[in-house]
Amino acid sequence: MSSEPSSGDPPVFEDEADLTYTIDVIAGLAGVDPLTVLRYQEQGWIRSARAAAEGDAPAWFDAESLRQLRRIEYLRSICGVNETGLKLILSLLLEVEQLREECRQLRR
Amino acid sequence: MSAEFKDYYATLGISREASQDDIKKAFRKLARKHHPDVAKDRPGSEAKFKEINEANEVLSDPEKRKKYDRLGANWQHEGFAPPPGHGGAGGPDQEFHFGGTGFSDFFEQYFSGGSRYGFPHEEAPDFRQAGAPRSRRGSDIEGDILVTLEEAMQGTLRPISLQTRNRLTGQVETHSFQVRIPPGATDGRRIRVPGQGEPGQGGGPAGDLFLRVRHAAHPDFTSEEADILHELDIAPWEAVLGTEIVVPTLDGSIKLRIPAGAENGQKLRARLRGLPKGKSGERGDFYVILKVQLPSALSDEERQLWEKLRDVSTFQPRSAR
Repeated sequence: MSSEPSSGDPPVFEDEADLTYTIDVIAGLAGVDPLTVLRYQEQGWIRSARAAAEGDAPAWFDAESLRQLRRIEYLRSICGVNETGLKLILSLLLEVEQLREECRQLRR
Repeated sequence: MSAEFKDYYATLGISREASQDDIKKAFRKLARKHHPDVAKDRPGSEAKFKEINEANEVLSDPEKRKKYDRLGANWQHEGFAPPPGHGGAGGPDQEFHFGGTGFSDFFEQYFSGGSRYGFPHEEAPDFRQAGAPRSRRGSDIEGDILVTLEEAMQGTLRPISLQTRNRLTGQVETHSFQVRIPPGATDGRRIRVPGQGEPGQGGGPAGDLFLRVRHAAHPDFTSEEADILHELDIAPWEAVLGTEIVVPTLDGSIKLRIPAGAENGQKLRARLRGLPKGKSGERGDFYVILKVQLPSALSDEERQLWEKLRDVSTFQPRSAR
């Protein structure tokens, strides 16, 4: 996430794949309450990049979880989908994505 | 934000009636010729290679091909309205445009996964308290970026430009930046570019850009996660008797021992010759898939030898098990 505007070159965005966020940070980035994140995680709607370790170490999330979290919020607050609908839509979205990937792999 | 029509059939040099198999063959032939690693005119071939890849991406996908064929027929009348149901937001709302992703404007407009999640202007909920100005985060934008297997192997820095229309002023704003494609970027993996989505409103932060890595088709290799697959044509006697063959990988050739009694479709593994796995230093594997080819044209002598084999052989392919 570094910008290098010095030489007039366009800024460079480094890869963030290994970057993980705590529950508070990811909640802040998505504009929701940490408890909401926790609830979604319990429902299995967002996955943590690294599960809560032994003991009480907190879970960590990555960019993929952030994207998913924002999609859920979009469906919930903009499309007005309730939890039952959300469950259905998220599983369908996941299935469509997996099927598309499978088709793509088969064609290659 | 208009785009120029692309004749994908002409790009691959095939007719509109070409079968899926014809498309695959035409693509492989051209891709081998124009692959940046082998072609003499590197910059020219790179552009050509991307064009071939894009044509293949559309025509090898029956759904995209159908859509393309329909589009072609109505081309003159269609104008340039983005098709309905395109991506997350769709319709006239989809006012952004990529450059540098490896796909043409035409592809971006009609076939890419480009979509937007967030808060469309009209539908945004009115959380505003009396008199307080509404501050809202910009939408996230999603798009595809074409990455060659060589780039995925080495990692690279890609210049990207993104045009978005400012909803308040109506002006088109262009943002140029560079995105690091890390070594080992797998197909389907998303790269988050923070703050490069749609601008926020009322002092709200900008959305993010999520670029999904799409591996460019390669004449010799395909990818599966961090593994690289290579189909190798062999003669029947090579399969039966075994042999050693030098095969190319993404980083140098390897000598592959084919065991006697190898079967058609058998997968042989060269460990750790695939794509890197993150920063761990680990790598995926390289798989060779054997494809036994049968001779079609026979000399007299060859025919005699096959006939002799037929008479002598005890092999019974249809014997009861």
